[in-house]
Amino acid sequence: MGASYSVGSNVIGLIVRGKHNDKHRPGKMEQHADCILPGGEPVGFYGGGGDASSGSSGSSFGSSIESWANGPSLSWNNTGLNMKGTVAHYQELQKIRPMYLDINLAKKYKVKSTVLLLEVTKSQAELFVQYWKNLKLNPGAFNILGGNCSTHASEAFVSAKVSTSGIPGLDTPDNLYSQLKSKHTGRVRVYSGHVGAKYLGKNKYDLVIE
Amino acid sequence: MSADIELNWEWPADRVIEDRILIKITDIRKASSGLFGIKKSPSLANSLPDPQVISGVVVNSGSSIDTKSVKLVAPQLEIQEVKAGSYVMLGIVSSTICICIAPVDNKETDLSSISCP
Repeated sequence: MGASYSVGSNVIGLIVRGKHNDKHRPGKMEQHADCILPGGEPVGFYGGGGDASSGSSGSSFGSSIESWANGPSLSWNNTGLNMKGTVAHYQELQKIRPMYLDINLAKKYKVKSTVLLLEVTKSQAELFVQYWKNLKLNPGAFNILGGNCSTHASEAFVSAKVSTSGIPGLDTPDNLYSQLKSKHTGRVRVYSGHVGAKYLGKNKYDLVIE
Repeated sequence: MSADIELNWEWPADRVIEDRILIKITDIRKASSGLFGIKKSPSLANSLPDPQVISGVVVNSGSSIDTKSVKLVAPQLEIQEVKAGSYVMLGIVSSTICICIAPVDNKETDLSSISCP
């Protein structure tokens, strides 16, 4: 069932997927950063299909099953470099990462995460939301080095004036977590375990942790 | 190795399937994790937990896609009842996205009777 936590309109957060607890140091390919918007909605930056420069999102099919007769279909760039970037909110996460939302699927897939929540001013909360709105409109490229999920999560915190600089060292979710926790010592709430989000309506979400 | 029809896996998210195809599975094997394990990164939208490559051939479609080769990468936990040599129905949305895999007894099965997902 898990414990539910309300996320207020003056609270923002970071979720490090794959980080089992505060002390755990996940491998570089075992972690992902999502953020928590005021009100609790999870959002994150992902590498999508296709090259950022190609204009292709991957599929070359038409809309009917008969179009398959013409064969080859998808062309995915899985190199991690110059991929199309995409911003995934709750609705997209239901399709590509339901185990980040549904606590039972989180347990089924053994996905543990660590959440860091931080109280901010109304103005900072608005800047944080605005950053993600802008990124959704113009996500640009995803690069595993220097243009990844944590790079953009960090930019969101900088944009909201929660951080003053980028991530020290490599852009990884765990390094961002350490930076935020260190800068805001005593002012953050941290939770670890199987993490989900429950939609309550009217753009409000509870954070669910077990 | 490419196939005539290549599909990507997503979870249903309350979507209703638009197309149903029956395939005979010819092979299931663990997907490559790519250079430096990059394909395993959870920051890639189409990376999947414990991905398996399912290869098969379309059967009994009653259309020109019969005998076309199919390739789908899906999470191991979603295909536990599936094995090479068996028949499965794939539930498709948006032409290239598979949101469910349902084992069927034989190639004469009425696909419209299969609940999926």
